[in-house]
Order: sequence, then structure tokens, then C-alpha cells
Amino acid sequence: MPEITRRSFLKQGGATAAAAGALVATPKVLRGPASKSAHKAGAARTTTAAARKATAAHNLVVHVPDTRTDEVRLLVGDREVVLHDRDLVSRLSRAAD
Amino acid sequence: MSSHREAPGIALDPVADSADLYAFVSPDDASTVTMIANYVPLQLPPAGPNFYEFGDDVLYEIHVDNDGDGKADVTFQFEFHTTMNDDSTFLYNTGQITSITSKAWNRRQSYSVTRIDSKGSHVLGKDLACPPCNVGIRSIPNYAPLTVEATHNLAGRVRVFAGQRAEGFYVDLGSIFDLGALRPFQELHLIPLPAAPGVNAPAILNVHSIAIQVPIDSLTASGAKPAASAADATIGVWTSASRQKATVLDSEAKTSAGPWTQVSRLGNPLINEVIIPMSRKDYWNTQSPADDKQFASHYANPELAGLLPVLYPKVFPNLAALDAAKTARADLEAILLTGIPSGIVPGFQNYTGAVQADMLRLNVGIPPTKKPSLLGLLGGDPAGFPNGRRVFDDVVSIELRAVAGLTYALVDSKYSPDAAAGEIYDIENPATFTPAQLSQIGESYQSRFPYLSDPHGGFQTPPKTP
Repeated sequence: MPEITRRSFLKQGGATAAAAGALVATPKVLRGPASKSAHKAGAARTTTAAARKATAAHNLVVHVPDTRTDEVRLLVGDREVVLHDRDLVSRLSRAAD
Repeated sequence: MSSHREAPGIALDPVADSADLYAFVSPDDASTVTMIANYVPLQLPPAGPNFYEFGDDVLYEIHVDNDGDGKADVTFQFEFHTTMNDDSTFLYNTGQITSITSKAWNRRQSYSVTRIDSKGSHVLGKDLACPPCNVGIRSIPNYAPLTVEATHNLAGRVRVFAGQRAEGFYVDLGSIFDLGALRPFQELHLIPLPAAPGVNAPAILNVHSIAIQVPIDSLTASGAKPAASAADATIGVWTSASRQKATVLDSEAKTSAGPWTQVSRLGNPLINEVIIPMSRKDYWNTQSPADDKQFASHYANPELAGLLPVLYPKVFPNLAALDAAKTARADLEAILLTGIPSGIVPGFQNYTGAVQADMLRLNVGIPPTKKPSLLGLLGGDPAGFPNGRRVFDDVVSIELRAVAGLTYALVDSKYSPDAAAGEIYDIENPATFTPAQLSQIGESYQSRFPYLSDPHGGFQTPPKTP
């Protein structure tokens, strides 16, 4: 895929993701071990990690665990946002072909 | 070893591999507890040009549970940052390092310490200097002052140190994992060899330690130092290392993103090493002590207890009978998962309740012992393992004896432990050896924080084969 096309796609994808966010009732946000209810002290444990990774917070990693499903995981900063958007998965899959 | 390279996954990631955990009432200040979490195990001192260091991309934590539910009430986070003075040289140091501020030291680390509790997150210290690795006598002619410089006294009577130390754990690693052989008793092994002195494999190795000393009353649920008999006298301690969920590599940088995901943990020594089956070790490392009930069957019926009578024919007949009856080892479950209730060992308890959680349990009301036994509680010394763990405790012999049935008599008075269960060890007899005598097998300790000794130097520690 030519670079210009990829960029165009990512712009589109971003818009789609935003729209999907509105459609999906409650995107699930995961924050590491605290999500397992393992740490009573865990609610704040990401605070310093987030500060340390301030520059990395501008990175966004998109993970589709299985292109046959509608699940998209967005890894940003120290967060993970789980979306369910079949159309976005399809677009990402086509872009990767 | 205690937890060195103990699981297939973490063996490939030494920077995040929790190797040893210690927790004890400080012998030189009984109003405080010292906790030491070791990482980056099995360091050969001559390691240039790139010496060992903590991971900037790893979140190191020491957790304390003070109400027995296996969940952290207090967590100390340690985050590291690496800098270089001179990016034009290949050298770790371009001259002598006589201070932790020496400009000749090219690549160094600093760190922050954050306490997290019910009141929130509090940065206890930042930009705290680590000492250098012990390169050798030309580069670092006098290491001891660097340890003093790198010991930081923080507000609230908190003291921290993070950096290279001599490995304080001793074990005949080569023999034990060669079909469970104990050299001093190997003439009795299924594949016999003449009895021989044990060999301390880590004697010349280093490790990276994260040590923190805090007032006892800052850890307990009551906010006070409890009496040894009090219900809230025991804290549970464990360490963990986490990495962010995704890492992206390119030619310029390594970028991580996503939530912190636990990749390593350690409470009691040797558990993931020899209690948890290899197929579940990596998974065990991702779990919280609060969820350890799922592993309880491995503690209750450890594979090692079944192997001992096979590997040492006719030596452990009573243990063999116990195994044949598929008897659940309530003694091991208590020692390792709930703590020992009062009434079992006279005058002692470190029970935290019914929740089964693998934590290093320390009754903080028990003062340090002036003449400690390497066998800890088994040697009549309540200040040692399994009441916490001191740097010199012989945890290998203690756990070997417990698994061999010595402690089962605590829960079944009709059971008679095999004589060997009270005698086995892997290097030197801990019943007759003192901590100071461990120097004979290459181990020495400091009498003050951070208690583990200065690291072996690269120049002065050539590799050797026993």
C-alpha cells in the first residue's frame, strides 16, 4: 500500500473510530493489574507511570486480536480502550492486505 | 534458585525477573521493617562493556497486605531512568569512579520511589542515584563509600537503596537440578555418587537489589507497632514486575504503550521454582496472591514430596506413606498460603486469615534474634523464615525439610517424620553453621542497611569451575 494511501486511511480510520466510540455503549478502559481487582492500592498506581510515559502518551497502538471478530484494542499511554466495531476491523484488515 | 529464571517466559527477560525477596524487622532498628527485592539474577561480575542495570521500561513494585486479603494495602513503586554523559565512547567509565557523581562514570541510573496507599499516591523521592556496577579495582578502587552515597534517607524515616549487590542467596544449583541430588547425601541417591561437600553456585555472582526500610507503624493496619500475639501483627509482602502491554521497536527508539501487565512476582522463596508445574509457571507470574486459591492443590500435594522417596530409596518411608495416601499437606498450606495460626508452634503465629495467598508473611511484633539460626523457625528462631526472610536464612534447607515431612507433625501429632527430614541440606549443615560462618561458602552480609554486601568486582572475580 502506498504511504499516501495509508495516511489517508489512518485519517479515515480515526474518524471511524471516533464515530464508533459514540456508537459503542461503553468502551471498556483497562488500566493493568488494577483491572483484576488485585490491588486495593492500585487505583492510583498508574499515576506516576503515566507521568513517566508522558512523551509516549502520544503513541497509539491499535491491536486487533482476531480479524474475524469486531474487537479493536487501542493502547495509549498506560490505558487500553476496547472497542467493538466490525467496520473498523474490516477497514484495518483491508489496509493490511 | 529462590526464583531465578524460574519460569520459561521470565527466564528470557532477566531485567524483570524477580529473583529473591527478603522482609525482616531490621536488626539494627527494630522499629522498622526492611524489604529487599532482587532482580536481574545470576550476574557474572566481568560483564563489560555493558554492565547490568534495571529496566527503564519495567515497573518494579513491593507490595504489603496488612489485613490478610492478599491484596496490596501499601505499594512502593520504583521507576528507573538511564542517562549517559558521553555518547561518543564505548566505555562504561572513562576513568576512575570515586563517587556516584564522578564524571568519568558514563552510563548511570536514577530512580523514583512512590508510595501508594488508601490516601493516594505520594512520591517519596525522585532522581535518586544508583551506584555503579563494580567494574574492577582500577575503575572503582574503593566500592564501599559508593554504597553509602547511594543509600538515601527520605522523609518519614524511609531509607532506600537500588543497585548492584553480591548475591546473598546460596544453593547448590548444579546438583539440586541434576535429578534432585544433595551432594552431602548423594551416596543414598538412586544414582549414587560418593558423598561430597555442597557447592554454592552463586558465590561469585551479583544481583540488582531494590531495598527499602520503613517504620513498622507505616505498614500496619492499625498504624502502630503491634504485639506479636495481635491479630494484625502479620503483614504479607510480595514483589512484582510489570511491563506495558505493547512494545514497538524501530531503529530510533523502543516505545511502549498500554496498561502495565505483571510478568513476574515473588512472595515465598522457591514456590514458582519447584511447587508450580512448568506448564503453569508463566501464568502464575501474572497472577495476584489474592487469586492463589487456584494453585492450592500444588502446595497441598507438591510433586517434590513424591520425588524424594523415589530419588532416595528407603530414606523417606514415612513420607512415602504420606504421599501414597494422597494426604493433603496442611502444614505446607499453612506455612506458605495462610501463615501459621497460634497454638501450633508455642509462642508463635504469623496467621493472616483464611485467604490463601502466597506472600512472605512477617510478624512485625517479633523482635530480631541476637543469635539467629539459619534454619529460622525450624531452628527455634521465630525471627527467621517462614516468619519473613532474612538475607542469610537457609531457605533451601528449610523448605526441603518441610516438604520432606518435618513440619507435617505440626498438624498431625501421630505422624513421625523420617529422620532424614530433619537432617538434609544442600551445602553446609544449617543446624551447626552461623551466618558469619557462611563466609566459608563465599557469602557475607552487612550488619546495616542494605544488608547485602557490596558486589563482586569484575577484575577481581574471575570465573571458576568448582
